[in-house]
Amino acid sequence: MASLSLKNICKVYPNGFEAVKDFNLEIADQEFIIFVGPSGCGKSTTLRMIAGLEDISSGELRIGDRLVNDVEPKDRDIAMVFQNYALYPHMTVYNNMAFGLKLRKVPSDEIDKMVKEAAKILDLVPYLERKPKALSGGQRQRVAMGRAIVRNPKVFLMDEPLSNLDAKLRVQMRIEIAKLHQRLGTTIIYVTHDQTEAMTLGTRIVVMKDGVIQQVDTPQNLYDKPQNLFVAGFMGSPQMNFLDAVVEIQGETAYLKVGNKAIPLSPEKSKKLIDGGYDGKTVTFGIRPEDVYDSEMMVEASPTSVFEATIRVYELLGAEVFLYFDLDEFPMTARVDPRTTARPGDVVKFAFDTEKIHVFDKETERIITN
Amino acid sequence: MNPDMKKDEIESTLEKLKDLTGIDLKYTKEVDGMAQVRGTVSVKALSMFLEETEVSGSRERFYRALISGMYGEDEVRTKAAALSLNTSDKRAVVLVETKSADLAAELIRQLFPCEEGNDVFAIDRDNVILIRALGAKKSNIHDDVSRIVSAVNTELMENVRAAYGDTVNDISLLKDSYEEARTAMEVAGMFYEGMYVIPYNSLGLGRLIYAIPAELCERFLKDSFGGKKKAAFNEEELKMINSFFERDLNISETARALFLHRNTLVYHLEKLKKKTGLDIRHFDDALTLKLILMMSAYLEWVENRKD
Repeated sequence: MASLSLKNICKVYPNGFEAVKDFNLEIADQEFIIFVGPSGCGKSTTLRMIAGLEDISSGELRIGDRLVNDVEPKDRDIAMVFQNYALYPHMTVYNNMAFGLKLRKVPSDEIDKMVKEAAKILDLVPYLERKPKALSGGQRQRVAMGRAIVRNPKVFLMDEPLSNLDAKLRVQMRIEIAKLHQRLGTTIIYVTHDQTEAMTLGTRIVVMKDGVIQQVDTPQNLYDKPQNLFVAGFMGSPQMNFLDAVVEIQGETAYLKVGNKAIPLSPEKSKKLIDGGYDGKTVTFGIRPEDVYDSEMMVEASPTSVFEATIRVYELLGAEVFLYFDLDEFPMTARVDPRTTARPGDVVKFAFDTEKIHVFDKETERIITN
Repeated sequence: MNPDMKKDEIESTLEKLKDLTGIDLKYTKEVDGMAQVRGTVSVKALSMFLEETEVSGSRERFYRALISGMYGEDEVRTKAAALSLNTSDKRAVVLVETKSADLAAELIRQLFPCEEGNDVFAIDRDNVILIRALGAKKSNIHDDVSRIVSAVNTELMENVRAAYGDTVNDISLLKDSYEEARTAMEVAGMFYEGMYVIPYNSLGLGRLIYAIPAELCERFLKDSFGGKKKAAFNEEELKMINSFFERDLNISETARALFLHRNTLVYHLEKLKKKTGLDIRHFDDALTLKLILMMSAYLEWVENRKD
C-alpha cells in the first residue's frame, strides 16, 4: 500500500503538443481516486505516466517516499487493468491468472498461493478450472482483475475497465470494484469518462480538461460546489442548465435579470456579486434540473423566481420525469415528480430554488457564487 | 509407441536432428534387450517432436520468406498447399514493437493460438509478427491489436506499439499487409507520438507525406516557406499553432486552453501572419502550415536515418 505524490507533472510530445500541464496531486494511501474528463483531456496519459508506460517530460512522481520518474514500470509495484482486457482463450481461469507470474519466473508454489488467494477475494474459486468461454461477462472481468491482484501491488491503475461492458453489467461490476477496494484496502487510481462511475466509486475526483486539472474534490462537493463552468456542466446528468443573466444591484440585494424577470439572490450570494463588482454585467447563471420545480406548492413558496414556459418534450424515466422547455431562448431541463400532469404544448409555471443558483463569470468561466 | 524402428529410420531421424540442431549422433551397432528398447523409444519420441517442430517451424519459415518477398506467386501457392494453409482465408499482418520480443511473442501466441490459424514469431529482438487469421468469425482487427497492447502493458509492464496492415483475402498479398504495417509504424513514429495502436488505413496526411519524395518536400518548403523548417518557430509559437489546430481553428477555445485573453491570441496570430505570410485563421493557410510542419518532421526523420 502506498501514497502517491505528483508535483508539477507535464507531458509534452516532440511536436509540441502538451498532453498534461502542471499536474499537482497528493493521493493518500488506500484512497480511491478518479480521473474524469472528456476524451483527450490527458487522464489516460497521466495514468500511463504513473505506470511508467509514458515518460514524464517534467515534474516529480513519488510512490511512497520513492522518486520513480526513472524507475522501470515493472519495478514500480503497480498493476493495471485496461478496458481491452484480453483473457487467454485456451487457458483455464487459474492459468490466466498465473500466466503473468510464470513469465516473470515466480516459483510455482508462490504462484499457486497468489492465484488461490486472488480467486478467493474475487469469488472465483469454483471457476478456476474453467476456460474463459464458459464464464459470464462479469466473471471474465473478475479474472482480468485477478491478474492484477496476483501481483500484490501497492497501487492499482484502472483505465476505463468497464467501458466495454453493457449497461447492466457495468452497474454490477461497479459494485464489485467498490467491494474490492474495501477488501484489499489498496490505493486505486481509476480513469473514466463516465461521471456516474466517478461519482459512485471515488473518494475524491480529479476533473480534467485539455490536460489541466479543473477541480479536485469529493463527489458531493464537485456536484454542489463546482469551481468553474466546465465542472458544473460535466458533473450531473442531465447537465446543469445555463442561462445568460444581467446582474442588477439594488441596495444589499443582487438580482439576476433573465428576459423581463429579475430573480433576487440570497444575502450571501448577493454579497459576492456586489464585492466582485458585477453590477450591470452579464454572468452565466446555472441551476441543476432537480432545482427547477413545477409543483404548485414550490411555485407558491418561491414567488420571486416563478416563470412560465411551454413544454417541448416530456420524458418519463419511471422514477422521474424530465421536462424540456426554453426560457428566454435558453434550453432548459427540469427533473420533476413522475406524477406531473405537464405534457408537450402545455404552458407550465416553474420556480427555481434560489438557494441552489450558481453564478459564473462569463469571461473566465470561474465560479462567483455557489 | 512402437519401439521397432529400422536402422535407416533411426539414421534418418538422427540426420534431421543434425540439420536442426547441429548435434551429430551416429547409429553404431545393434544391442540386445532393454538397452535397444530404451534407445529406440527415445529416438522415436525425438522423431515425433522433430516432426511437430518442423510443421510449426515450416509455417514460420514460410511466412518469414513470404513477407520478405522471397516467393513468386506460384511458389506461394505450392508452399501454402504443402503446409495445408488455405490461400484465400482472410488474414492481416500485425507488427508489434517491444523491448522483449520473445516474451511478447509467447504472450501473443496465448492470445491468438495457432490452432485458430494464427502464427506468431519474433523477427528480431524488438519486433514480433502476428499473422492474424480473421476467419469467418466477426473479428475486429483493431480490437485484436488493442488487446495485444493492453496485454503487453499489463503482463510485461512494458510500453509497446502495434501497427497493422490491411486485411487481405489472398495469402500472397500478406507481403503487402506487412509492408503497410511497417510503414504505419514509421509514420506513427514521425507524426503521431502517443499512438499505440496504429492502423495503416487511418494515417491521414502522415501517410501521404511519407509517400512524397524528400526532394519534393524540400521544394515545397522552399516555395512556400523560403526553405525554413519547423526550427523557425519557437516553443511558444509551436504550442499556440498546435493548440489552434487541435481545436479546429477555434479562437475562443484555444485562448481558453492556453489561458490567454482572446485578443492576446488574435495578436499572436497576427504576429505569426507577419512572420510567415500565413493567416492560419483561414483553412487554406492553416493547411499549408500544417504541411510545412509535417514535412519538416519528415525531412528531419530522413536526415536522422541517414546518420
